[in-house]
Amino acid sequence: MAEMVIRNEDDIVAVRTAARNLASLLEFSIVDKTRIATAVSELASNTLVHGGGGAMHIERASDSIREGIRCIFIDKGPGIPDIDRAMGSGYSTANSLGQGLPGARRLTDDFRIESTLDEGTKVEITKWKQ
Amino acid sequence: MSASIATRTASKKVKKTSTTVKKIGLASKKPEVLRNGIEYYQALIAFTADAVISIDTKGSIELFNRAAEELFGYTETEILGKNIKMLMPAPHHDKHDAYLSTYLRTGKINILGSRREVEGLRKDGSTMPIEIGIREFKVGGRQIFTGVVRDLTEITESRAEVAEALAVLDSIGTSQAMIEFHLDGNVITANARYLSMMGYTLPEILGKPHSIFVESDYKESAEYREFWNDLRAGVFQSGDFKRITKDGQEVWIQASYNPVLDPDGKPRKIIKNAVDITEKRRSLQDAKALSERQRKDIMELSTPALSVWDGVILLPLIGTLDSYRMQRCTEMALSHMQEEEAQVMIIDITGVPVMDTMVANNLMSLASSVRLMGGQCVVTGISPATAITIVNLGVNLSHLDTRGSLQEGLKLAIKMIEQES
Amino acid sequence: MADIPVLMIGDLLLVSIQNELNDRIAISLQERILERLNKQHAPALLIDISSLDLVDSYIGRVLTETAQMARLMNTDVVIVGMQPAVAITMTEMGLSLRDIKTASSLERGITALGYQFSKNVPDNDAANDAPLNGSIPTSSEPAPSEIESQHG
Repeated sequence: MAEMVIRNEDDIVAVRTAARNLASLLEFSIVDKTRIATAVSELASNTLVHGGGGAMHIERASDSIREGIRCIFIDKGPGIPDIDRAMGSGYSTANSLGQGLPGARRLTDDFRIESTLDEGTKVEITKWKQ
Repeated sequence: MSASIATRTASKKVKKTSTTVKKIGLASKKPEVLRNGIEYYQALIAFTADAVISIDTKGSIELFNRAAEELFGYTETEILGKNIKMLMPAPHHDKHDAYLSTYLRTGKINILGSRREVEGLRKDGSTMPIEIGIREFKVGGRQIFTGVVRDLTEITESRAEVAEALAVLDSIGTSQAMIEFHLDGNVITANARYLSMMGYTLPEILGKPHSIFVESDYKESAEYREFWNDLRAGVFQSGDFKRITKDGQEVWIQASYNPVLDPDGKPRKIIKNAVDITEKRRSLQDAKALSERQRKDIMELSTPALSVWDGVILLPLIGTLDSYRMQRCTEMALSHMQEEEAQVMIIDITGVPVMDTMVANNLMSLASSVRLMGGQCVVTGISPATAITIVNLGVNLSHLDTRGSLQEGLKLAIKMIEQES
Repeated sequence: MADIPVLMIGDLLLVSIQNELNDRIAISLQERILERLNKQHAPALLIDISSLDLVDSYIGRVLTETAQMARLMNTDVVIVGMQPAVAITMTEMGLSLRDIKTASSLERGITALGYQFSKNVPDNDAANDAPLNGSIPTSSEPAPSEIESQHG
């Protein structure tokens, strides 16, 4: 539905605000709105800091029984060398990927990540309305 | 009852004949002259208390007296020559022509000679209940129908009120079971309500002692003897009593036993009024059990947390909670905590039948969230079995304050509050 | 976005974070607080986040680091007024702010610090070890001279 660039810190605020606004429109609960905005903030942060910048694609999600919100983060950065490690919650907090990916996954319902070294990373999250 | 009638609608009151006679100056004339004069009769019709309307065979109005003007709101001039059906609301409005022509053809009609209650339609569009009495006569070869019309609004209203009052009395009368006893306790008579409540017919209980309605052990008791001694002494008794029906079923009644005194002040019989409260009593007890459950359901759905002390809220976790419900509970409990500006949240797990990893994790998350918000947590209701399970699951609650019972937890919570201030 | 106000209440430093906190502002805030503490020691710092509707790992880290840095400068830190939705989200993410004291409201934060504060003056270490919640006996009003603002 919308494509937003992530080039600097202000963009991080912009994308999480957009996500929160769409969540409001779709009448998500207060806590779910916070979860969505926080997950978006995390992933946008990763896109900027580790991906060297990129974009977020945000849209309404729907399948036969429910509706929700979907955000796809794309960057053309160096990629994530060890995704499993990055996703494992045992990752140390010193590494900024430590909270980002596992945290975002815990806050959302569907989480998909694809990363290729030297090519880029794509993270897709979906949150369904209960 | 009549006070309310006075404030009701625009039904105009009818003027008294005497006042109106004065108006046309007939009062001054001598009675003999008046009686024979045509003006007398004209005046009579014109100003009589009842509305008088006459119509010809086509239904057009020939006569419309003062009372009719007042009743229907039309002046004589504007209504003369118009059809009578103007004064009728639907459906009669459409049928009148038919009624009239039927009669004229067949001579058959129900309406003549009798008084009927119908509805009249006023000029302003409002309707009113009226009573009409219709006669026909012939004069000068012409057939005329005359109707006398009375406004029944007030009467209808007071009839309704009487009916209502009667209905109320009736319901009181019938919902109260009544039975009369001689001083020795034998039944004199009983009303239908009592009989149906206790499951007997009147012949079955006439002359029988009151004790047939009570439990056998109570019958022999000193308490029962005293009860009747007091009644015989003229002492009024009332309360909730357990009685036994013909089938041996228990009923609970709220009853008053009234000794009826003769002119010398001596009791001569006992009249007992009773109301069956079995249902109420049962539902009160059910309500206790039910409301426990209901309260828990409601609590889960709306505000799961209860404010139990200044600054302390209680969150009872009940039953098997799936992850989603647990989340909802958490959200609501934390909002409640914020709203109430509570410092301590007591999480009571007495009602959690099975402690599993999911519940334990959710519990810990909740406690973390509470701490993040600057509050304190006390977990209560940990039974020995639960304690064993928790340790075996490897769940570490050592950083939390825990207590076995809710009372203990509340004591600790209050201490925390007091220490904080 | 305007700079976040840093106020003195008596000797306490109060920072009230309004709505949106972007990374730059968060870092700049951290710097300003530390500079302030450097210029003039404050026994305690209150960070009011009651208007903050989102704390992600980055902001969480900034808060934690700020608290750690302040503590190194002998300043106690309390984070007050966290919104329930934020508390839940942070917990789910695994962020705990573990070593930072929190209070449910400004008043509670100040009251609790008040106790620590009056104990703080003679013996710093003991006060820092005492937990904020729980076993604090009834506090007395801090002595007036300690609260009086020196710079306003």
